[in-house]
Amino acid sequence: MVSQGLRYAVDIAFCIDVTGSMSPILDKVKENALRFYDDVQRNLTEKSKNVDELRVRVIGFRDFKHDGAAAIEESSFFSLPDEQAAFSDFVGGLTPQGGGDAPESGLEALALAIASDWTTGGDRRRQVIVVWTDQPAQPLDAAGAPAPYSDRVPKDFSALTDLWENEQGAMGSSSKRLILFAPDGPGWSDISGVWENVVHHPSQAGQGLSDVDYGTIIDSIANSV
Amino acid sequence: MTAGAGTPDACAVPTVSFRFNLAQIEGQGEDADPILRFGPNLGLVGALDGMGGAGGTVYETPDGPRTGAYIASRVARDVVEQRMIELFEPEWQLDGPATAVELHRALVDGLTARLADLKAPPTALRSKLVRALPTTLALVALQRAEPAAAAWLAHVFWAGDSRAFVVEPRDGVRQLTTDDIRSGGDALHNLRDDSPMDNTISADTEFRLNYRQVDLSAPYLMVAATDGCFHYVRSPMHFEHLLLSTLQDARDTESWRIGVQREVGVVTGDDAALALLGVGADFGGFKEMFADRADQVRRRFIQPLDELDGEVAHAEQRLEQLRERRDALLHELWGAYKPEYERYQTVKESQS
Repeated sequence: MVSQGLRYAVDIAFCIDVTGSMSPILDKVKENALRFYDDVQRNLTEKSKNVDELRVRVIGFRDFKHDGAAAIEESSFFSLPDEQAAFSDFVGGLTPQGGGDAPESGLEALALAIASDWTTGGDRRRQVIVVWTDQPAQPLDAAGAPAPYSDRVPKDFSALTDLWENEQGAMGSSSKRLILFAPDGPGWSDISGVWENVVHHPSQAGQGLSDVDYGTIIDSIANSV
Repeated sequence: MTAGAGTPDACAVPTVSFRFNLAQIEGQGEDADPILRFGPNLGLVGALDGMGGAGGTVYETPDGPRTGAYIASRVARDVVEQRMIELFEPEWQLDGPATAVELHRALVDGLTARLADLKAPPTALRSKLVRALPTTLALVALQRAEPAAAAWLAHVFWAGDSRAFVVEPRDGVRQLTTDDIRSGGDALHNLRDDSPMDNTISADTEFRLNYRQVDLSAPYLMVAATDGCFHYVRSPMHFEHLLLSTLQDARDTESWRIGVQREVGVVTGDDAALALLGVGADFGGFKEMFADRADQVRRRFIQPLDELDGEVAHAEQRLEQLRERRDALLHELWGAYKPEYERYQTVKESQS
């Protein structure tokens, strides 16, 4: 009998709040982003699941109302480990500024992440979005989003929910996971209360995350592939 | 009932049995050792898979740190096995639906008590994905319908995506359980779509224990397995091929077990546990009566796919060669074309 040799493909999209209020903790969040994909891969490898394709992309977000089109800094997917340096450079280049007062455009960033160019490769896939923010989310308002984002932002929270729950959508119905490191409040609590395949750590961008909870999160992504 | 060897004293009694528990990481496997017990008129075959994705929370135990998944499958196994030994009497027909209710109660009590003992670490996580002590279960209680008869009743209990199968000489493998997964029950589709389960045993959420009764006639093989055994083969037909080809290659029950475990180990990406009980023949009898079916599965289902695989591999190799030739030709032709194309670019630029 010939070895099956299943091929695993893992895509991760990081949504990182880069508003001024994140200044004290942004370096730690960047460190966590660089560590996160590594931990998922290690977890898979320890279970003899060979990751053939691992890609990450980053969406830095601020507040459309305050920052206009500069509210979004997004990268394409980086293939790791080949494009590790470019990934690190992109993350390193994110600087905390703007945003005005809370809330921020976190849901808009999440919508962009859901619509990512997810891989169709591999026999089994895991598609993960991780959000780090210290603020509640601005209500969705496509009309208020500047070009070129107005066409890419759902008109309201229900439309965003449809985007996530759509079984024929860009993300696989069973392979997607959403990890929220975000405070309780509008947007984020609605998501963790209603959406499937979500793990929410109510916090200021992951502050106070215990090792036990971090391990649980990694297992929830990697062990179920 | 005894665990292990049986007594081949009549035409329809359990005589062939084996089990294995294959962990991806030694000592940390989240499948419990399978249940395998039998007597002349009874059999108990079960598999339990602690769910690593949902039960990744690590607890401190006297044996060291253990995941909730690791603990759950073992607690549930002990609870179910003990309760079935108490309930299962050769002289009484088992009341399946009532037994399902009783097993459900015992599982809730057992897992809840164990969770309380564990002094769970505080968690800030909110998620429908994360459960306390989650595990699957596929359990078959076999009971001979009448003494000295070939007719048997199979009481099938399950929750989650571990499976029970019956394997019969004429018709091969038939799945007795129905996977509790969100995307539905097509076994081939499920191999590629790792759909979330919509029902699993756990200490902190409601669950149901499914029950089904099936009439069987010996000889047959009863198999209970976790998804590590059947979820990584190419198709359900390949799982049957794995079971029957290793039977045909084996010289006795132990070498059959080694063969099945080896082949599962080659393909699996997960912990894998399997228990098998043969009723109605000895090893030689099963090997002989499954010979035709094994050959039929190989010729009808496996060979055509293997042959097409070969053609696909050949076509892909040929395609790659053509691409390389095309790229080489492109550069060669560009080399011939380039001097004239760039003729005037070699003329010195004038300053204006």
